[in-house]
Amino acid sequence: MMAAERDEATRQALLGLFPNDRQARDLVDGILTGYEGQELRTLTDLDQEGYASKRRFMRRTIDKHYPQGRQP
Amino acid sequence: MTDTDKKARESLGRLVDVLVEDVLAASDDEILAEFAEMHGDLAKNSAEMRALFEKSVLKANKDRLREAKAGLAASRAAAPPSKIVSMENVRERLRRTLASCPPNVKLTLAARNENELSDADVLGMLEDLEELGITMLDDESTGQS
Repeated sequence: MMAAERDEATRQALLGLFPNDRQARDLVDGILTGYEGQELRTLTDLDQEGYASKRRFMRRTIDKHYPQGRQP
Repeated sequence: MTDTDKKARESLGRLVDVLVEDVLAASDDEILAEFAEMHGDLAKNSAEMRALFEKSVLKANKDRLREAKAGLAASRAAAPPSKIVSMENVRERLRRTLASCPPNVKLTLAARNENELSDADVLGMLEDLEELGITMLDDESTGQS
């Protein structure tokens, strides 16, 4: 598998961690695309507190599924 | 690496940065609460980590001790054996040295009969002569018996 294909598979796997959470998927997708700060908040349609909470949820979910990080 | 590969890597790198930033921005209490939620008892885990740390320190100390012992054994093996000489040889050496040294020194040091000198005096005199630059090779070095 080429590097680009492998990375796309990783991206899809990351988005797949949040099958029923559109905001979390948008957040992950937005970060991968290169959005930052206010852009991400606008993209996810969350206020400051909700945005912080969603980021925390995203991180913990990814940590839980990839406890040793991404394996090469 | 193609441009596509590079972009894909960069996008994952951005996600990693965000994850790390969030960890660094979290307070100690948040980290502890999160840890307890994911891994259970904080006290038990900290005790296990301390035990692991102490075990590592102990192992490191043992390794250092073993290395030091090996170094000491090696230096002992390399050191020349200490020379054990009989006092008779030393006295003979003093006599020969005195016989060959300059008259002014001889007058000072040979005033006493060598037979009356204690072993310590003999050794001391030889040391004094050596300090004066008056030496004579010992029997072993000269091949004499």
